[in-house]
Amino acid sequence: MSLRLRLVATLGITLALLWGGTAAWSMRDLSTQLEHSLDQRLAQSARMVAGLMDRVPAELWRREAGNMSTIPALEGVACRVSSLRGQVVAGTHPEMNDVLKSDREGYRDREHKGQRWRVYTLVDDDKRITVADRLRERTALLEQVRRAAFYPFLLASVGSLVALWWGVARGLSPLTRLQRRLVSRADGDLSALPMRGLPAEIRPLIDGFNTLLLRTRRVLDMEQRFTDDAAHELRTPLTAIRTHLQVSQRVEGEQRRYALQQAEAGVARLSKTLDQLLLLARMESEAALQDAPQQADFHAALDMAMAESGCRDYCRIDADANLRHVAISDSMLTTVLRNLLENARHHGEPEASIDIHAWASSNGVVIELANRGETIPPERLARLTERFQRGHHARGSGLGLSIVDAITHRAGGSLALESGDGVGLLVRLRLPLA
Amino acid sequence: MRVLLVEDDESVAAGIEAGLALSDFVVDIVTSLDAANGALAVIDYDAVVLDRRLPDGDGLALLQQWRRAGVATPVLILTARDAVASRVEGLQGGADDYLVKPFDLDELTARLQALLRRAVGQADASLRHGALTLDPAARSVTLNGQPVTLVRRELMLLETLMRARGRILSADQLKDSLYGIDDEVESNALNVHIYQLRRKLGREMIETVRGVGYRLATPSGNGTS
Repeated sequence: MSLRLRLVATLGITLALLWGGTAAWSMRDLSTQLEHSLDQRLAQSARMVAGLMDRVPAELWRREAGNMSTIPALEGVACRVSSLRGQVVAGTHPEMNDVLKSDREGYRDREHKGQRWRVYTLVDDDKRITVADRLRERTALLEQVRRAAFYPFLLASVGSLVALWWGVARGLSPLTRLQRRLVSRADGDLSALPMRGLPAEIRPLIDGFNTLLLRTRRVLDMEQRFTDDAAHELRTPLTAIRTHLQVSQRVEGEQRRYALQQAEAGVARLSKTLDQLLLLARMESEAALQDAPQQADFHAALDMAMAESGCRDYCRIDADANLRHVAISDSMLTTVLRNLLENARHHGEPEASIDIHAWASSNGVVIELANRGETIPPERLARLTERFQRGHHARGSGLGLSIVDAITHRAGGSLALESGDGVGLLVRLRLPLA
Repeated sequence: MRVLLVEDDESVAAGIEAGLALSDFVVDIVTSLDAANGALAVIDYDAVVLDRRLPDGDGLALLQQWRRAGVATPVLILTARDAVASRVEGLQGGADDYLVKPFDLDELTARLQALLRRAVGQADASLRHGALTLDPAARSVTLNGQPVTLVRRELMLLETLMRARGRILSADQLKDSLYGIDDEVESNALNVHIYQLRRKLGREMIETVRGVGYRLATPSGNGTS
């Protein structure tokens, strides 16, 4: 249900009920008041006749008794004066005996020839005065009064409904404009909606919407970057392989051997990138990495990692002896350390040593790995754990630190990077103890 | 034909260089936008093969900069991004052609040759000069319909002269088209190649313009003896 319809319906029905109720109430009041004042006038006219009769000497009309004088009648009004014994002295409408014949004082309704009359009888000393109003005249009068009151009321109520419709439409026009703007946007348009000219009630809504748009834009950008990066990382070695293979078919001897060797190296690089990508994908899909409580021996894992990365000769280790209960699986810790060692070798000064420092702290184990090298500017440092972010060196898949980051976080640890003062990159891992 | 290859991946660059050398292209490799800019300022390349993703930025940005500066050298862009939008972006950015990695070596060669052909406003794949015909793709030369055997550098020299269409080329320009930056060149190498060409095609085929350089002689009648 549209907001406009809801508003108009709610306000309209309320207004109509209020107006209607008021009208019904005042109409009822009006009828009662009118009846009442007409009754009073009836009674007054009876008293007036009684007053007039009092001025006439009693003997005079008593003499006349039984010798009724008929007064010419007015339409719709009747009157009769009679003695207490019931002798009619004077009156109109002799044929309306059944209506005007009355003993007791007070009002009553009578019917005569299909027409209703309002009758009032006044008993005054020795005479009885009865006056009657035809009800048809009263009804006609009431009808006229009602009609006179009804038209302004109708005009006012219709007018207020129209005003209501217009007012609601006007009040909601910023929403309508907003809707039109949203509908006319291009499909892929993720730019923020302008906040200018929006009423205060909608602002928070649009503000929230814009924040969501911004976040969506960022996510899409990141996805796009990832796709581009992945395409680049996978297609570059593939290009090298294909080109060198094609060259190898057209040359001989040493050149051919070189081309095949290059193709081989390309295959190795491609398969390494693929392995890393698959590892990363697996890690991100395995929500519960540590179903069973796991623990790894830091020294064993480091040993393995140094062997796999072939950089044992460069490592300078300074570690607590008792680090046998790191809460992570052996293979994961080895992967983490191997990636870090390979990074340190690739990006550091060629023959410089890699410093490895590990100790148990109050809330887990801290492992620091540092190489010597150029300082990395802070803005690049912050993006290093993003997938496919590499140093200036073309070697490596650009996935190493992403994998370290993913594993560390899954294991409930944290990763910090520093650079400067001759240190190319210092990686500080915090991992919980089992 | 001398080509500048801007590609930061060593192995890919080596592969392309080796592949293009098979079709007698002389390839200079640079690995950054900066170096590409420097190389293009010094040497008059016949074409540039430009990778988009380089350590110091997007190759397309450099290309746009070149085009704004009025550099008309044909440029073929290499990229790993195969989305239609990025191809359009590349072509609108001033690229003459666009290849998505991994590409076929023959396709790269053919496209480069097409670019060179277009650059001199030539529709036919073969170069012709009087009775002389050179097929750049097949690397063959015929004179009056008879095949002529030329060694690699002689063929490259002849191709350069034919593409110049009678314009005078200096000795340095000719050497540039024959040798890369890293090639060792003997001082009289060019003279030797000119001599050999004259011996095989006829003395009048190549004119020496004293103090300026060399050009192909205006063809007369049915060609040369």
